[in-house]
Formats: sequence, structure tokens, C-alpha cells
Amino acid sequence: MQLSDTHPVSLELSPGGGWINRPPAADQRVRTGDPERRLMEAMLLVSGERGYAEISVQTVISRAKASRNTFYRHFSDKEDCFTRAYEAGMDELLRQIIEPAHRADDWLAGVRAGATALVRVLEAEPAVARALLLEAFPAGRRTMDKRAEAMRRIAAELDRARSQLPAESEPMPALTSEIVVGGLESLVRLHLQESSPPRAIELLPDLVYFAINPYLGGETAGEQAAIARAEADRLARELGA
Amino acid sequence: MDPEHSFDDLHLALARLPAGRHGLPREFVIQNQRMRVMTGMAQVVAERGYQGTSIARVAAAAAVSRRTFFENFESKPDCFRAVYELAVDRIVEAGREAMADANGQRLSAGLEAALRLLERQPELAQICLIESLSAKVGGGGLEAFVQLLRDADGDADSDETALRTVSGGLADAARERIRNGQAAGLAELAPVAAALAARQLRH
Repeated sequence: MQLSDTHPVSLELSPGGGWINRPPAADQRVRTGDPERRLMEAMLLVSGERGYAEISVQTVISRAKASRNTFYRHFSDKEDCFTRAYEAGMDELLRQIIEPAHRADDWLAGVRAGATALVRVLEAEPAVARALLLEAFPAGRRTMDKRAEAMRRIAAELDRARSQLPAESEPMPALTSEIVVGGLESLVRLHLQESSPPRAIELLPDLVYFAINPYLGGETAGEQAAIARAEADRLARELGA
Repeated sequence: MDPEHSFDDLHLALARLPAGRHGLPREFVIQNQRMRVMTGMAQVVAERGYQGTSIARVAAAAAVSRRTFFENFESKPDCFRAVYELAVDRIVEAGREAMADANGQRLSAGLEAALRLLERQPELAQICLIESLSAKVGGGGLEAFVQLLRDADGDADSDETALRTVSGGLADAARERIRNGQAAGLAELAPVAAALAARQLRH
């Protein structure tokens, strides 16, 4: 976790960048750092593993090896801790998706880069990913608002495609990107809810296809999905069986 | 809100389902304990949210004993799932009726009717779109739109992922409007989602 300008405390999902294939990384973060951050890290992990509704403050302090006093020095209750951890974690997830997309050469490569970054997080940090994608609703209004804000930011990124549409194509309503992003998120959420899901990497070609197809059509989307398929295979080898 | 009134639609839905399946008179069905428990669950969840709902409160709202609850359902999520599935059926039914009556633009008409039902029935919308995600039961209403899209597509082999993408996105856009007290804007989503479906389902 790192201090950042935009947020008092931010959670770093990928210490040092090289977090792939290092599942113990999350627990290492819980053991190091200041108590407030450790508690927030632990909160995301245990919520993702067991579900927000199933855990207590005790679960969190046991995981963080912190005292009850320390917990209540930083947080008023379980909801307060989860909400702040969720907000910081979601900001970090967005950063990890949007930064590579912005570094890409064009919008198409940006979509692939963003989707690849997302499945990398799903693979490397499954508990954190579950907390961020499944636990906003059990936890309450503020986390649902944060989730909605994150969806709007991704929708704004996708919506840039509308300005690149060929002149002869039909005008596309601004609402489209909101529905497209909600749909992509649903695919990921349903994947996480499956009892024995295939690897998250398998989502990559579909995420790319259904993000691009509404704007640039099936031919372009199919080409990009094929590139994503090759990327997914490469990623699978990188991450090992 | 008058609880007698606000649950009219759900009562109706609850009463309808078994009448067809078992051929029982409606009066009998309304007395049916399982239905009463489900209506109690719907009421308490709409009032307090899924996380704030206990089996004791559901039993009290349904005027049945805890034992009766467990004779009909294994658990709180089990009972909520039955309510959720009924709510989804009710939305599908509204959409199908409109699609049958439509001349052209069938999907858009069906989606609009489904969204207008959610607009008119805030408890139904709350249960289906929001509380189901809190309960982690079902796909947040997406199943209803999947069925309508599949009907309109008329293709038994419609790509399931494409159906889920459009439906999940529509459910999410509807959910955000309900959460922010903008239910009146739901219907405008129908033509946009129908146009998106035309693109995403064309593989």
C-alpha cells in the first residue's frame, strides 16, 4: 500500500508490479506496513474469501494480527473499515486497468490492455477481486456508490470510441457505454459466482469482443478477440498451470 | 407506503403461479403457507434489506411459526431464492405480453414493458435488482432480460455470453436508476438495450 495524493490511504494490489504468480503476496502485505493499512488489507482478503456478511471485526484483527484497540483507534466499526478498504482497493484496481489502457497506442489496444490488466488481477489477487466485485452490495450504500463511480469511469474510457466511429455509421446513444460496461462486469461477476469456474484468463477474449463489437463491429471485434486469445494463452503459460 | 397495496403485484404473482401448476383454487393458494412465507420474506426484505432480514421477522410478517418456515424452506437464502425467481417470472411475463402485442420492434417493446413494471413496483425492483446481489442469489435481475432477449431472438442457439452481456448491462443501468431514485428514467433504456442486443447477438 502506498500513500497517494488522491486518497489518504491506498491499497496496492501488486507490490512492485511483479505480483503475478505470487499468491502469498497479499498475506505479506497484511504482515507489513502500518496497522491501518494492514487492517484494510486484511478486511479485503477475509471479505473476499468468506463474504462481508459472514465476517466480524474479530476475523479481521486475527488476520491482521492487530489488537481490538488498534482496530477501533482507526475505524468506527466493520462497515467503516470495509468501506474505506473498498474505496482504496477500487481506486487501485481502476488505476491498474486504466493506466495500461492509456499507455496503449490506440483505443483498440487500450481495450485489450485494460481487459488483460483486469484478468491479471483476477488471477493474482482472487480474494481482493471477489471483495471488490461481489461485496459492494452486502456492504451497503457507500460501497455501491463507489462501485457505480468506478463503472462510470470505465464507461467514459470506452465511450471515447464513439468519436472514432465511421461517419456513415448510425449515431450511438451515450447510454450505450453504460450498458456495455455493466454487461462486462456481469460476465466477471457471474464467473466469480460459479462454484468451480474456469480460469479467469478464459474471460479475456469475450471481454475484448463484447467491449469492441458495439462500436466497431464484429469483424474488428473478432480480430481483436483473436489477438486477446493469443494473449490469454501467453498469460496462461506465464502464470503456470 | 401502504403494505397492503404495495405488494399487490407480488401477491398476484404469488397467487398465479401455483394455480396453473396444481390447478388449485386461488383462495386456497393464497392460504398456502409457502406463499405466505414468501410474501413475508418479500415484505421484510423490501423494508429492511436482505442483510437486515431475519427468519424470525419473516415468520412474524407471514404470521407463521418458525417451524412452519423450516417446513417450507431450508434457510433464509433458500426462501429468498424462491421470491427472487418469482419476481423474475413476473418481469418476464410483463415483457412477453408486450412482445406478443407489438407490431415490430418487439424486443424494445418487451424490454420497455419489463422496465415499466419495475418502475411501477419499487419493491419488486428492489428485491430483483439490488437485494439479490446483496444475498448473492441469482444475477441481479439479469435472468429476466436473458429470457426476453432469447424469445425475441427466436434462435435457440443464441450465444449465452452475448445474452448475459446485454442483459447484465441493462440490469445494471436499471439498478443504478432505482438506487438513485430515478425510476422514471428506466423506460428510455429499452431502445438502447434493444439496439445493443441487435449488435451483440449477431455473431
